Amino acid sequence: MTSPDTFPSRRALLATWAALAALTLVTAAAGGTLLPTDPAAPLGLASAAALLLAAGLKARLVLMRYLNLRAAGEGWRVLFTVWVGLVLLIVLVIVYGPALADAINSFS
Amino acid sequence: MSAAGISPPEPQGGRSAPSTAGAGLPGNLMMWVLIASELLAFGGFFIAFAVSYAGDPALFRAGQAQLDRRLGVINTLVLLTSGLFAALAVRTRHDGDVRATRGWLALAAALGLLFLGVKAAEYAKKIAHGLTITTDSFFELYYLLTGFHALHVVAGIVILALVAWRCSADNVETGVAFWHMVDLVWVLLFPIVYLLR
Repeated sequence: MTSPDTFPSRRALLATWAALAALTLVTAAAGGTLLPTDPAAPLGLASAAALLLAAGLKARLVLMRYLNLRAAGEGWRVLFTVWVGLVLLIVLVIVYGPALADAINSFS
Repeated sequence: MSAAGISPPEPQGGRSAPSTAGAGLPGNLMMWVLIASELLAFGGFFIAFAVSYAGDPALFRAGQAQLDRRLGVINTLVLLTSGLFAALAVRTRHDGDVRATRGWLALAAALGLLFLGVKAAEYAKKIAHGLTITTDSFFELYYLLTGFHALHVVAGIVILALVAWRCSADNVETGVAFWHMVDLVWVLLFPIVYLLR
């Protein structure tokens, strides 16, 4: 069991919820949910990356605050964060592979 | 308490004593094993979904356009708020207030039921339009992924009810950790299945 002293305070939990709600709105906006758009139109690489970044930040907040992983050792925090980030990155690369290649070529 | 079992309730109003966490993780070690295995499994599902998407982007975009994304946003907020109530239950139990802890757990479970109600309405609408698990590969994955997650929500509600009954600080923290895992999976599932295109 977690030491009661390490579990987040009510204020910290409310702040976490507010951040999660705000990031949900970012996700909705990046996913083209808030404005009337063609529902089948591709998002574009920047919006897709913003969408998955917001999702990753939400996942990290749930892990660190709600699940109190911040009380764990650094190795565990890194391991869970890297796994979530890796899955989202792989998904982005698979779905947006050609667009990513074009973006990389334009910088090189 | 035992690794994954339900321990007897502590005296009403008693504060929980600090204890060492297994393998440096907060809370119950076996629950973290479950959380890690679920993250591995769903991570594999999400990558499989992306591979299928890349195989036929037009079909997947057409399928996603049939989904009610605003209902998905609402359900995300419902589950995140439920997660807040569950976390407040843990905080309150650590502070020794069993009655308030049960109240927070009841609120968390009620929002879990609301999530399932919205999901059932979403399924009913799709099925009424002839969009079933056999329609195409997008809807097959959509029903499998969201259905598998919904089963976890059902299990989570049962667990919240169990730990409200056997309301020791250890039990509450362990049961609520499962609920947060359900929350965590949805936070990743919704953008990948509903929004990414």
